[in-house]
Amino acid sequence: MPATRERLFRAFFLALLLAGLLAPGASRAALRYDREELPGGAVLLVKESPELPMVNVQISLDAGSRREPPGKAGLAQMTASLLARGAAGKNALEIAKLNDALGGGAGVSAGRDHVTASLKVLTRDLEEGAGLLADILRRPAFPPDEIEKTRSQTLGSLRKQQDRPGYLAGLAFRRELYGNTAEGRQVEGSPETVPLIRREDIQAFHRNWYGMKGAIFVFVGDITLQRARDIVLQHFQGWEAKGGEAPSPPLPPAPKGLKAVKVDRPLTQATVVLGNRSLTRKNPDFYAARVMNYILGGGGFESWLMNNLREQKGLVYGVYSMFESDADSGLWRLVLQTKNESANQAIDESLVEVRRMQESGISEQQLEEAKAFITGSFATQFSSSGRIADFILSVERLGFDPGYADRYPQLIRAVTREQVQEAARKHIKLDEAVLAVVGNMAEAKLKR
Amino acid sequence: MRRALGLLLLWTVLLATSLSWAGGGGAESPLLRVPWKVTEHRLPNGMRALLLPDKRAPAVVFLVWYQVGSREERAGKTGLAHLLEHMMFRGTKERSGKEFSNLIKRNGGSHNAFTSYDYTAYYERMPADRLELVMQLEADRMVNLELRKEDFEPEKNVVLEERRTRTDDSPTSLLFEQVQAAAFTAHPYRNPIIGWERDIRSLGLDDLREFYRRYYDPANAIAVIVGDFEPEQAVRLLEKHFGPVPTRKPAGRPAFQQNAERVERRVVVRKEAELPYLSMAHHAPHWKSGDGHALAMLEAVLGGGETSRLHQRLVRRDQIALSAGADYTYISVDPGLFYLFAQPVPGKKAEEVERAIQEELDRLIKEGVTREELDRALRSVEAQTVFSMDNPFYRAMLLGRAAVAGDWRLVESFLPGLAKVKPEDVVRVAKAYLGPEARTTGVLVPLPLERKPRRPPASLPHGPADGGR
Repeated sequence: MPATRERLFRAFFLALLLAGLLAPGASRAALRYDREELPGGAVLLVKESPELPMVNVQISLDAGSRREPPGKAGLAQMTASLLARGAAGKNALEIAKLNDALGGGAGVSAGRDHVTASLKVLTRDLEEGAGLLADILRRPAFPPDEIEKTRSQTLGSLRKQQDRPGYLAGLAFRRELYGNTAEGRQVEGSPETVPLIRREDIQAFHRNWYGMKGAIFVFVGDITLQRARDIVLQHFQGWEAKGGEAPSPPLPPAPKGLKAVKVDRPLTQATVVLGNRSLTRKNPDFYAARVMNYILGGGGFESWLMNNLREQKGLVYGVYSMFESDADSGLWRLVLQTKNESANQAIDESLVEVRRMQESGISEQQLEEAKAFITGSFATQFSSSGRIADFILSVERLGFDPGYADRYPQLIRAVTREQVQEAARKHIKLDEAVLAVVGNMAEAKLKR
Repeated sequence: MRRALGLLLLWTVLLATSLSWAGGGGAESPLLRVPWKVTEHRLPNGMRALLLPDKRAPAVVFLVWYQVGSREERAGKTGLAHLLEHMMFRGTKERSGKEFSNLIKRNGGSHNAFTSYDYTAYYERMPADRLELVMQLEADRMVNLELRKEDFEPEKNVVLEERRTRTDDSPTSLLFEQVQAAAFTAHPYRNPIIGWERDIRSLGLDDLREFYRRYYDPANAIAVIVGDFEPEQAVRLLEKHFGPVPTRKPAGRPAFQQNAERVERRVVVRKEAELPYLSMAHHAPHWKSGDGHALAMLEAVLGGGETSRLHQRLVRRDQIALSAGADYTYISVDPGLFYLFAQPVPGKKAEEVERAIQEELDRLIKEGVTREELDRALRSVEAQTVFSMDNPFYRAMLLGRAAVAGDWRLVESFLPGLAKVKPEDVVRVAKAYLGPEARTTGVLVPLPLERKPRRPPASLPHGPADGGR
């Protein structure tokens, strides 16, 4: 079956090539991979790349913080961190010793939508590494003393994060934009919720959400499809999750106008986050929005925001804007830091650039340059097996097929100037936006 | 844990014009050999090139390393190397900075630069067939930089904002800056790479012109190319574009030596923060010394990974620290510092983690280390070395840093050197270099947020990097 798929895929690719639709130096060889469906509802994706004696493995599970019951924010992350603190008869130190000897490349971390277990090992250590990963994912012990250690570590790091202005601003921004939902909360939880998490919650969360159904296994590196399949079947066959109710409280209504949130801190700089709820990654407007944002604030030194705020006025070291879009949700945000006294000016100038994009649009030349960059740089982003694994994983999570990488340049190339301007009007919503500022408010004297 | 702390230190050691960085380690046993084949080339004008083909992706990374960093700055002119790095993006007689960036972007590339104590480096990441373009651009700005007043003033403000972001509003960065300044009394490593605020403000275009003329010279430059290219063709292109750049025969690097004084110092930074921090710095020899490999093993035993002694004792057993680790610089032009550090958990003081670290040091010296510990560390470092090869940019970084420090082959001899280290070597170097008699200890004492900050007067000489005006 995989062989047929591969041939079809190649035929498709050849047709594209003949049609002259691919960018020069595009991503072809770097991104051809096999896809196979496994028993139990899992998917296996394998990209052979034998040049270095190492393998990168990622396992994605639908066990992110959106699965947490109300009032238990932090449960998904705590479950993920505790997996390696005792499993299959080994204690935390024994697991750590094994992992350190393998190069320290095994770990599990939770996001909003999913949990990702990853393993980076030398080829010679692959069996050992896969066994370790299977043990911690399937047979964790959740020892009570380790739960308490992890709890106090989490509470401590939540405190520590308070010393990072960018973190504080992002937190305030999300909370205001999404309220008390998985989108609005931190994956790590909060000082209020972390103490409420019980061992039973952790065990139940693991029982309900960890298993083959919906799991995605990605292997990139010195490995064949056959070997990867054998490893997964040997270590993960028969691994079932109980499943359960996924609570999803409705989002609060979007803000009316530009809602400002201020956090007063004795800092020299104001950190500003401005943004709104926006399109998902599957929205057909995504490609126009991508081109638009590249020109506005995503294109490094050359973006309109950088050019105005940094090059011309020297107000910031950095300013950028981006869409954070995944399968089910999306937002657009702009981030900058500037000395407290120039916060108003930096915000004003940012809004000037956003409105210019919405009202005047872009020139044909700007459009062509943006497309040239986005299509031309596509290949250069796959600079390591980890990056390739991330990409393959995200394509699968979005429900796209392995040919997506080859279609991507075409989708970008089809974008028109009108669509770009339309995307700016439709998906940046200054009348439904949140402005979060962390800084010295006495010096910043914000007018909003 | 260790990775995060390593990055924290790097943050202070390396200043990139905007973003971007890759991590990794240095490592041993059945493999031992670094899986790469590097060729070297020298142009008649003295410029050197290191070429490492890597065909995994149709892309190429091109870097030009200038053998000059904050190390070469005179007193009162700190931040010069870094500010000049910023100005290198403002254009030449041939083309404006905007055209430069635009050309790279339009061709699907990205670019940036970074400055450290020992070097200033510029890089482009491009589709494989655009190597010639970036050579053309880098050769042009090696000689034709145009330093204009109207670009200079906003750029200086950008750097001041950079300083606020990186240092002034980050309690731990501020602490590391002060520890470094106190530990080095006679060596320019005492100054922050980004410069002291007052110095940055006082820099003029003439300072930059002189520095540029003196150090931006083909004979002072090393090109590093990693990616999908043919070495013969790359050499032809290098000769075509950099060959014609005349050399003024740079003077080479000035020699500096840190005083050999044995003095214990203590630096206390009081600043609004949630948690305290502790950092202990010790002068330690680098790659030129026979003790370098043993020190690197000591670093791994004390602070490498979750099983390391400091992590196990402070974070896992006593639960008095959120994180704890060690950092040692093996590759640099002059010897640097061996750091031990820890962040106390809420409710604990820096002095408590300091005591625990001292006890672990004493125990190591008294009881020694085990062969099993060293073997695990070795295996780990070896794997991490291969992992770091996975990213072409990081390969180029390893090569360039080693070449600037003295010899790119250091990357290849590192693992075999580590494999020869014996348990007694580790104990010996711990005793020789990590004693309290020549230690600089830095303590961050958090002030509660409610207390409104009183700005230190702007006239303090290198004051606590005040950041305000």
